[in-house]
Amino acid sequence: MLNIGSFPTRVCQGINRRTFLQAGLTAPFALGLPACNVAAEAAKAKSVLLVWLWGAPSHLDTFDPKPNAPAEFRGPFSTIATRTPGVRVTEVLPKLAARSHKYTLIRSHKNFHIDHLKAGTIALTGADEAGEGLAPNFGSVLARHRGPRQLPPFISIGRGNPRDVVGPMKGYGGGNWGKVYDPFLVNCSEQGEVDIPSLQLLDGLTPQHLEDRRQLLAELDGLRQRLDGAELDKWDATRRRAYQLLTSPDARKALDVSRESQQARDAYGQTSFGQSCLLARRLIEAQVPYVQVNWSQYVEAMTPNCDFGWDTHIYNFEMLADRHCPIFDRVVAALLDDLDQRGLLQTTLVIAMGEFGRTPKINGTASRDHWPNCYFSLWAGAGLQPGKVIGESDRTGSEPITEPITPAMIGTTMLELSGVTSQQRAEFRVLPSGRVIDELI
Amino acid sequence: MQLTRDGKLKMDPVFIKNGEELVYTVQESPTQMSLMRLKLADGSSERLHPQALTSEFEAAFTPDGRYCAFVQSKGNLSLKLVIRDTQQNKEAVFDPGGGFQGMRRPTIAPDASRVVFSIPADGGQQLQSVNIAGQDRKPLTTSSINHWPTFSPDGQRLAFGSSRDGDYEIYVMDADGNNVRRLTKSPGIDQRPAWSPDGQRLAFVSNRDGNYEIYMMQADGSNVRRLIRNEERDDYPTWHPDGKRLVFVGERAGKSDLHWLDVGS
Repeated sequence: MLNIGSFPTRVCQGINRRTFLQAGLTAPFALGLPACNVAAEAAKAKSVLLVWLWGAPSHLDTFDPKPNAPAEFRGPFSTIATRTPGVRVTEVLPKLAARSHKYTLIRSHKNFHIDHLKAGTIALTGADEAGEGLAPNFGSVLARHRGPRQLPPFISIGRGNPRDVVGPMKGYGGGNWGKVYDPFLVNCSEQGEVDIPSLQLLDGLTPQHLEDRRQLLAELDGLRQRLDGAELDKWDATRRRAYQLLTSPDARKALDVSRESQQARDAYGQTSFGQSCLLARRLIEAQVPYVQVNWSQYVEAMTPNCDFGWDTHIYNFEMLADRHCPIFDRVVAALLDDLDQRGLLQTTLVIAMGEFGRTPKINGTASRDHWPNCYFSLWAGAGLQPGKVIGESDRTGSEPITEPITPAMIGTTMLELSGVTSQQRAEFRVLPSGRVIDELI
Repeated sequence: MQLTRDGKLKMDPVFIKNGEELVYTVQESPTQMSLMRLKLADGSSERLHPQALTSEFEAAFTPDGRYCAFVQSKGNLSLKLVIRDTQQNKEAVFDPGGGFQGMRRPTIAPDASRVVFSIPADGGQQLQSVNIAGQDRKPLTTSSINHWPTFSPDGQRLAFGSSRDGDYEIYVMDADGNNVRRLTKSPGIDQRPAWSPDGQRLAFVSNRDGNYEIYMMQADGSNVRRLIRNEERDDYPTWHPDGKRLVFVGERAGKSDLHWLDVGS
């Protein structure tokens, strides 16, 4: 099901392309992107799928447990063996423990800010906002590198871009390259219903309108007159992008999760995060270069409007055991299995990470706060050797005792695997200080 | 037998009206958790509080149904306890304040004298109580993480989970917090004890065999047995007043629904 404007419809059955706005829409998904046009074929990663664990999951209570640390650090979770000899994770991740041969775990990440918004920007761009302004998101860099195509080259799935009560996280998109490199946003419900926020501007849009071009054009003209110039510019761009999706049968097909078998949909589970990851797999299959699934502030929220994903300042252990980890465990396990069975894992780089970790010492409310000095990530696919652990943290999970792996190194490795060479990164003026995580490759 | 079929995330079912209805928490939308009331006679369900604008969850009732305690979200990871007198149509509130504060899992004494809940305090997560007016806050535990309190049917004891011995185990204590006794001893998580109506048995949830499943034991911790074998999650058991059946939240094919489970007498 794909929602257009404020109504749901099965677009694969209900929209006649000839009756829709067509001017300029049958071209590939240009977006005004300068066409670098370097083919992805040479890259190990034809696509990148980033599972963005916004809010910052606790590393000690998931993938870097410290069962021998003092009680004030280790928490109440037991550890379980993984399929990788000698590697243990906590008991709330049984499915991913059984699939440790499909991914590599990094336990020695370090970020450079304790604030979500700033750390998130660093995590997704490799840099703080400084002299040259806001660096582009890794997805924006890859989108620019790959150039125009039928589907948007950088798609973000979730209820909007990551934010907290203070405001949005700046590093979500194009940064100083401009909004044209922002991700194209889609939302996916727990039922697998996909909607495109940029079309929500047209509140009155109905299937009948779509089939009546004259009426639609009249409404669009009316809307034009009501918008000022800046809004219109933005609206035109987003409308163009959204309508291109609707007029492309392949794009519509990629966005239609209901085409999946019931078995596949069940495997991911009836949660918005689960169906979002299934949608991400469909987009990868449709050769979208960069897909980011946001475990956003509104995914399975306990306190609506203010649930910051994995930001578990209170009830850390209960939320992880009851909600977050069961959902994450099921969905990411299903995602890895699905990509593997379809032969997509070899050409898709899957990364799951947040912006930082959480305080090794349990706080005064039996939970954990922000901790940028040490955190984890999972890497799978794209020819990486799985079943490894890279990096090590100290006995309390407070600091890496091996070389810290920074966001710039994450971005550099991600782009290198995707075919964005050091020369091209230099031309783009991104990630000047990053180096590839050699142990991964 | 399956009681619901929408597949939405569900939690904390509890019987009311002598077993004729169930109240449970459902993730109604990505931004709203709601209390639902399910009538067993016709399978119809509706919101317990149709006008609720914010998330409400984890309802508990007195046996006569007069008082209902539940958790209400204030936003920004802050929660308050609402105690509703359904006869007088009045509400009492216990609000611990803003800034990452809040309680979970209330349970009401059968005589409505106290409401016990779990709340971050004293460097851990403690069981505390207030009176039915939401006042006179008293501590029951003082260390580690303590959770899932539930009054025995006679109101004399509380079963609960605690990390005091390392991982989560189930304990029982007198209603005043004294005389704590450990009931389970196994690796992994043992949680969410639920008293049988006669007070002789406890259903609970454990992942000791690899995933969350429903178990049962005598009230002294003996005769532990697993009630369900399923590759997916089974959680949140609650007893029907007849003492012969449980309702639990079972995940089946990725969908979360309420199911019956016969347990015998």
